[in-house]
Amino acid sequence: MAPLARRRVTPALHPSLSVPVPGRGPAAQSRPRELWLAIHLPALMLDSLRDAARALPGQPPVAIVDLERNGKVVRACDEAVHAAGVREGMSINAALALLPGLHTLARDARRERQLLEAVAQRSLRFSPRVSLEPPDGVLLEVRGSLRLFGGARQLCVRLQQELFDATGATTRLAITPAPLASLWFARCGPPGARSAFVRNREELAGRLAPLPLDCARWPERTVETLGTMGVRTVGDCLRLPRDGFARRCGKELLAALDRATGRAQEPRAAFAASERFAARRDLEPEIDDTARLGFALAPLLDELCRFLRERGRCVQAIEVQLRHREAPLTRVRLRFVQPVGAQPQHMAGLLRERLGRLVLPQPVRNVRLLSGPLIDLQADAVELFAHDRRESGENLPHLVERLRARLGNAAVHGLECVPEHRPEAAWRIVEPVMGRGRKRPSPQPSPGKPGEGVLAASHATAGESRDEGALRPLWLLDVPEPCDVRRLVFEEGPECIESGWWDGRDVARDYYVARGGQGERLWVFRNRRDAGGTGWFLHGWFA
Amino acid sequence: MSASVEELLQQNSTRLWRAREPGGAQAARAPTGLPTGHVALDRCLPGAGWPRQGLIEILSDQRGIGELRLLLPALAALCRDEGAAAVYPPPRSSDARCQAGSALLPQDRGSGGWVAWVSPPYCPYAPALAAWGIDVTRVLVVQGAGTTEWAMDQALRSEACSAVLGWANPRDPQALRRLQLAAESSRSLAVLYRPLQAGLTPSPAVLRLALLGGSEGLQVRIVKSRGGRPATVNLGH
Repeated sequence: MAPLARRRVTPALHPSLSVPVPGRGPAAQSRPRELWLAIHLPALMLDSLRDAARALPGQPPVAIVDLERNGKVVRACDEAVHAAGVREGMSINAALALLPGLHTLARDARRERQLLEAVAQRSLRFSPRVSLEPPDGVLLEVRGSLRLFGGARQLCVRLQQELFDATGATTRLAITPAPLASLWFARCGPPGARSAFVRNREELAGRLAPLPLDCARWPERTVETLGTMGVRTVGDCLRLPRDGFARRCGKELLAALDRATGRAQEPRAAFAASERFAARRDLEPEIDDTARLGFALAPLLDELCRFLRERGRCVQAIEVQLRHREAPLTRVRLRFVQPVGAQPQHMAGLLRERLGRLVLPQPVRNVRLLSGPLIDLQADAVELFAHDRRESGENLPHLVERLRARLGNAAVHGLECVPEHRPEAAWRIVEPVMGRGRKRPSPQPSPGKPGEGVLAASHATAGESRDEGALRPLWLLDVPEPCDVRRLVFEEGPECIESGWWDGRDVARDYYVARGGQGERLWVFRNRRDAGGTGWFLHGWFA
Repeated sequence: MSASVEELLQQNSTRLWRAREPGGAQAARAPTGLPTGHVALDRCLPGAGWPRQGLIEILSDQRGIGELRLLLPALAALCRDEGAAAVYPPPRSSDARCQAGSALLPQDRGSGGWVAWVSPPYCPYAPALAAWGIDVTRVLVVQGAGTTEWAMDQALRSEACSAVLGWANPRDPQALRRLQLAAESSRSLAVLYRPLQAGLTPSPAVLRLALLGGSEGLQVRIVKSRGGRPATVNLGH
C-alpha cells in the first residue's frame, strides 16, 4: 500500500539519527501491532460555534474571543476575517478596528468538548478502540480496520467525509504506529495536505524529524530555550544527548520523545460512548389534554424501544419534555424500579398514569423523549410456569412502579424492624426488597416465636411470662396523643423504657396496656421525668 | 338420569353454592377457605375460612378492638407457608378445629408473596407484625388516600401479593363492583376495611363482617356471606 504522503527527509538527517541512542533496542519489528490514527480538529473553536454563527442575521464575519489576562483576545477566526488582517492573539479592540463589522462570539469550552465527543462517537464506526486527546484530538487504533475499509487512504477519506457530514468538523488525520507521533503529524500538517502515513516503527524517527516543535505542545519557555540553542524541529531534539536533554528540559519531554518515536509504549484510555436516546416530535395541532398526549408519545416510545432492542440495552429512567408556547418547559421524569428494555407497552402504561395527574399550563406544541444512561441488559432465566412468578416477586417491581407513577415515590414503601428500645425508633421505612434474593438479613430474629427479639433487649418489668408479642401495638401513632386515662382499666404494666440519651431524643416512659369501655386496648405511657406524673399519652392501639 | 345429575353435583361441590346446605357441612367436605385461625369463626364461614376469591369487607368504627388481630393468623399462615415448603396434598383433618395454615391449597404453595397495606389509618408497627409471625420484609405500605380502590385494584391484578388490605369507604357502587371483580379474578386475599355505616348499603362483597368491641371481647357479626348464613361469633379477648 502506498503511503499517503511521503515527506521527503533530508538525507543528512538519517545518519545522525541512526547513531545508536541509549535505550534503543534491537531492530523494532517491521509490522507494528498497532497503528494509530490521529484526528486533529484544527478549527475546533470555530466548528463548535458554527451553528451559533449561522444563526446570526446577515452572516457577519465571525471571530471567537476568549478572556485572557489582558482582556478579550481573538482566539480563532474564519478565513475572510484572517484575510482582513485579524490574527489570533490580537485584542478584540484591534480586531474591531481592522474589521468594524466583525461579530465576536465567546468561546464555549463545553461545546468544544461536546463536538470532540461527537467526533469520537462517530469514529467508533471505524474502530472499536477510540481514545480522547483533549482539547482537540481523537485517537483510533486502526490496524484491524485497514483491510475492511480498503486501505489507509480509503479509510481516511471516508472518515473525514463522515465526520464532516455528521458533526461539521474539519479534521486532519495521520496514521503511525505511535499515538503521540500520529498526533504530532496531524497537528502540524499544512491545511489541505494529504494525511501522513507511517507504516513501520523504524521509519518513525526519520519521518518525525522535520516536524516543527510546536506540534509537540511543549511548554512555551522550553520551546523558546531550545530555539535559542538552534533546536527547532523534532529531529534537532533527537540529535541531542539524552541525559543533557533530560537535564535541560525535564524527564517528561524525553519520555514524550520516546513515546513519539515508538521506543516507549503509550497506553491509551478507551473512550466509552455515553449513548442516550433523544427524539422529538412537533405536535400539529397543539394538544391540550393529557390523554391525547399519551397517543402522541407512542411513536417516540416505539422508536426508543427499537433503539434499545438494536443495542441490547435497557434504561432505568426516561424523561418527557413538553414544550409550550410561552409557559416554561414541563418535564415528566419516570424512574423504573428495574431496568426496562424494549417494552413499549409497559412504558406507555406508566407514562399514562403519570400524565394522568399532570396539569398542563398551556397546550403542548412539541414533545421530546430522552432516555437516561443505557444499562446493559441482564439476561434472566424466564420462569416456565406462571405459577412461580408470584413466588419470585417478579410482578412486584411492576406494581411498585405503577403505584409510584401515580402516587409519588414516597407513597410506596416497605418496613423494617430496628433493634431499638424506643418504640418509635424500633422500625423504619425502607425501599421494598425486590427480586429473588428477597430475604434481607433482618436485625430481627426469625419471627417464629412471638415476642422473641422484640422485647429481648428492653428491660420489661412485667409481662415476661405472657405472650410478649402482644405487648406491642399493631398501630403505632406517629406522635403520641395526650389522653385521659381515668376511664381506662390498666391490664399490663408498667414497662419502663428509658433510652436514647445519645441522639437527643431520649425517652423515659412507663408504658401500660389499658382497656377502654368499648373493649379497645390501648398502649399508654406516662413520662417518668414529668414530676407531677399527670400527663398521659396514647401511643398505639392493639388493633 | 337423575343419578348423573347427582354425580355432577358431587363433582362440582366446591363451585356450586347450595343455599340449603349449612356452611359447616360443606366445609368439612372441602375446606376451600383460608383458615382464619379463629375456630369459632371458621365454623360459621362457608369453606371453613376466609374466602380465597372475592372481596371481604370488614366494617368497624372502633380502633383497638382487634380488627387486625382477626386477620393476622391467616396472614401469618401465608407468610409461614412461604418459608416452609408446603406439603401437598395438605393433611386433611376431618376435625374442624384445624390450625390456620395447615389446610393451604396447592395454589397457595409459594404464594407467600407480599402483603399490601393500602392507605392504613396508621402505619402498621413492624415489631408487632414480626411478633405475630408476619415477614416484615414482605410488607408493602401504600399511602394512597383518595385512590385506595385504584391502588388495591392494581395490587390485586398484579398477582404480586398474597393479600391486599385496604382502608377506604367507596361511595361509588361501581368502584366496589370493580374491586370485587378484581378480587374475584385474583388469587390474593382481598380485604377492605370500611366504617360500620357502610353496612347499611348493599355491596357485591363475598363476605361482610361487622365488628363490635365490648367488655366480653370482639363480637363478629356476619352481615353477608355468600354460601353461608348470617351469624354472630364472639371471639373473646
